[in-house]
This record gives sequence, C-alpha cells and structure tokens, in this order.
Amino acid sequence: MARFYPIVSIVGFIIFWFVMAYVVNDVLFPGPVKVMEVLANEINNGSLIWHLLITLWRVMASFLIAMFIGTAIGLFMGRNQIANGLFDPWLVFFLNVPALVIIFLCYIWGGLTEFAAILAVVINKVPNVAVMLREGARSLSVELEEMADTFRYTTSQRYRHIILPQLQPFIAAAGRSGLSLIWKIVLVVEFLGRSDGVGFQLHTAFQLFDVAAIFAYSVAFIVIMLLIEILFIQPWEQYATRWRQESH
Amino acid sequence: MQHVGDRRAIKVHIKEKTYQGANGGLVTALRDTQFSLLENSFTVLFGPSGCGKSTILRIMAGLDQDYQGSLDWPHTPKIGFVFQEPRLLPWRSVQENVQLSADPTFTKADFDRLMHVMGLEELLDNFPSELSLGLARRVSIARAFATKPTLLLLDEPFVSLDAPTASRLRELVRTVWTDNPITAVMVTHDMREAVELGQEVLLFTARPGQVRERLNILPSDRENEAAIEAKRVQVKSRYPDLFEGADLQA
Repeated sequence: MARFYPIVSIVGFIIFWFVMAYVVNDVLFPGPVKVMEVLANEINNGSLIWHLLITLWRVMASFLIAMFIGTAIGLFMGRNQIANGLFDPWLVFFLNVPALVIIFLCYIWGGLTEFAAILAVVINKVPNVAVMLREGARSLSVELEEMADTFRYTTSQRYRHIILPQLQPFIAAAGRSGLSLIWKIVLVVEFLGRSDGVGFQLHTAFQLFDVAAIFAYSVAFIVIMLLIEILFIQPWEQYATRWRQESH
Repeated sequence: MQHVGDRRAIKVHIKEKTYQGANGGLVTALRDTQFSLLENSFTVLFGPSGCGKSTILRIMAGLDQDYQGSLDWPHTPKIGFVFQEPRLLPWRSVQENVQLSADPTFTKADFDRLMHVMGLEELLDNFPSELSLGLARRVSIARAFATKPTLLLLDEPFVSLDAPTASRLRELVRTVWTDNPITAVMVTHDMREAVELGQEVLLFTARPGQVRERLNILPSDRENEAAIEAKRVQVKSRYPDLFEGADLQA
C-alpha cells in the first residue's frame, strides 16, 4: 500500500493545480493543460531540447569540477592539521559569501563568458563539498591505514581501495546536495549573463509575463534532474554500497 | 659448523617506549627489552596484559617509530601482519582482500593452493560482512601469507574465537608455516597456543615488559593434549603471575 502513496500525492497535486488554475486566473496561474501545450510547442520547435542541453552541460561541467576540487581540498584539510588551520577561515568565508555576489564578481572580472559562468557556479559549490569531505577524511579508519602501511599499498591502491570507499557516503551526500544546488545556481547564472539555457529562457518568459512558459521549462528541467537521479545516482549508490546490503 | 648465533636473524633492543596514559601521565610500556629471533623459527611472546607485547610487534612492523632503541635486521624484512581484529576491507571480496596485498610473484596457482589449504575456495566472492569472525581471521591469515613475508607477525590471532575454531585455525597456521617456514612472532595470552605453535616462547614480566625467560618448546611438548597441558601447568607453577587473568581460555 505504501508504494501507492507517491502516486496518490502526485494525482492530488494535479487536481489541486487544476482547481487553483480555475479559481485564480488562467494567465497568472495556467493549468496543466495550458502548460503541456506550451511544453509540446517548445519541444516541437526544438527550443526546449537545445536550451535544456546547454543548461545540462553547464550543470555537469560545474558539478564535476566542483566535486573534484572540493574533494581534494576536503581530503587535504581533513588529513592535515596545518592546512586545516590555514584554510578553515577561508572556507567559512566562502560558505557565507552570497551566491549572487560571486556571480556578479565573476561576470564583472571575467566578462559575460562561459568560463566566468561556470567559475561562478564552481566557487559557490566547492566550499560545501570541501566541508563534507573534510568530515569524511577525519573519520578515515586508522586501522585500515596501518594495514595499508604494513602491506605496502601503493598510493593509488590506498585511494582506490581504502580512502575512496570510506568517503563514498560523504561523496554521495555532497553529490546529491551539490546537484540540486548547482542547477539552481546555473539558472541564476544564465538568467543574469548568458544568452541561452533554461535560465535565459526563464528570463525571457519573465519579461514577457509568460507564466505558462516559466512552468513548462521548470517542469521539463525538474523531470530531467529526476531522471538523472533515478538512472545514474541511485544505481551508482547501490553498486558502491553493495557490500553493505549483502551483510547479515 | 653453524653456531646458534649464526641463525639469529633479528636483534630487538628497545631501551624505552612510553606513551600517554588515559590520565595524561606518561606510561612506560617497555624498558630495556632485548631479545633476538632465530631465522625461520616460530617465536611466541607470552606475558600478562599490558606488558607491551603488541607494542613490540607494532615497532617491528614499523607502525610505531616513537621509541628509543634499535632493531637490527640482517636484511630488510618483508612483513606479513595478522592483526588482532582481521582489518579486512569491507567493500572488497575475500579474493580481492587477499590479492591486493599479495606479492607480485604470488601466482594464481599459489593463490589457489593457499585458498584450498585455508578452506576459503568457496568464499572468494563473499564480502567480509558475510563471514563469521573465524572465517574473517582465516582471510586475514591468508592475506599475510600471500605477501610472501620473510617476517610474519601475529597479534593474538585466535582471541575471541570458540575453542574448536581457534584450534582449527592454529592447525591451519601450523600447516602453512610448516610448508614454508619463515621467521614468525606471535603474541598470545594463551599458553596452549604458545606450546602448540611456538618453537621458542619468550616469557615477559609485567609492565614495563622485559624478557624474563626464554623457553624452548620441543616437538614432544605438543605431541598430544596431555603433553601440552603438562607444559602449561609446568610454566604456570613457576610463574603463576603470568597467568593472572590471562590464561582463561586454556
């Protein structure tokens, strides 16, 4: 029975949406049918696919770069007290700088370029990843490290077989929260300084007061992000934690 | 003619080893601890809890370098370590756990033979969480032998096992070691284990641990249950303090 609850919830939401659209006003709050019409139209003229792909590329590029840099910084700080002492104030600083300020500064100093856009997203995300991975690095098993010392594991063996598997829950948590944060920041970056992508389309729709288009692009993007979660992130997590699931 | 002295492989001299105790004060674990090991012999370190036996193993393995003293190796040893807890990689299968530590010259045939002797052939694809403590210990012992060590260190490898499992595991260690004798040092609280496996038993004083006596174990001492028990009783009657709270399993 419990597995039907999400379906009940979604159907309930669509009914609520119909009712709201009927009660409020079709322009301010378009109903599902109107939104689907806009969505179909945008798919047919190729616009939606193009802008979605552009945004997805920005999300993926900034996600991978931020995860890589954040993991490296977190590991370094978690395993080295001097580095932690030196960089901790800066980590706190960057965690608290508003995303918008970073985006503005990147565009001002780097111009309205692709590089500046991705850099802005990366700078916004790296501190979160670093903080999470620092905790992971602090909890690494001393016993396994000693085992690796005794059996003379190479550096790559240590990372592959000892460190990264222990960090996997932290990487998964940082990745999941990272993806949801990054795509929101990417939309703001596109809104402010790019001439393509879902954020740019939302900007255009906002200026034209086209609420149906705002809904259509939002729905399309959320669906894509859900598919990424279901098709890539969950299977990877299941694979990476299979040794736990098989325990008694 | 070969003198006994020629076969001395490793000389251990720890002038002092201290560590920070729970109450913040310095605890002297070892002081002026000296002994030497015969090459390709099986030596057992036996003594009361806290006398620094495990610390000696950690120092010999290079895991603890914060001590005063010296280790005199005739040649740098290749170490295989059987830790008190198996310390397997939970996310790697039995096969991967053994192979990751294996010596580059350890062939597939060597691997198959070792797994067969250790009774692990059916469990190669299992993860450590699917194994009992006894089986996990077997994997840990197999891993140590797979490194083709010249010095095997065993830190209470049979502790917390039920008597039949511990006995079977001791038999396995004895079989693999007899197949290919290497210098081995085992820490134990159990005189039965010491007699069953050791050729020499070093009896330690309480902390700070020093070698009190060097005991030779003859094959006849472990010929049968009665001989093992007789040896245990003999040592116990001479050094009852060594057995206080230590030899409970025996």
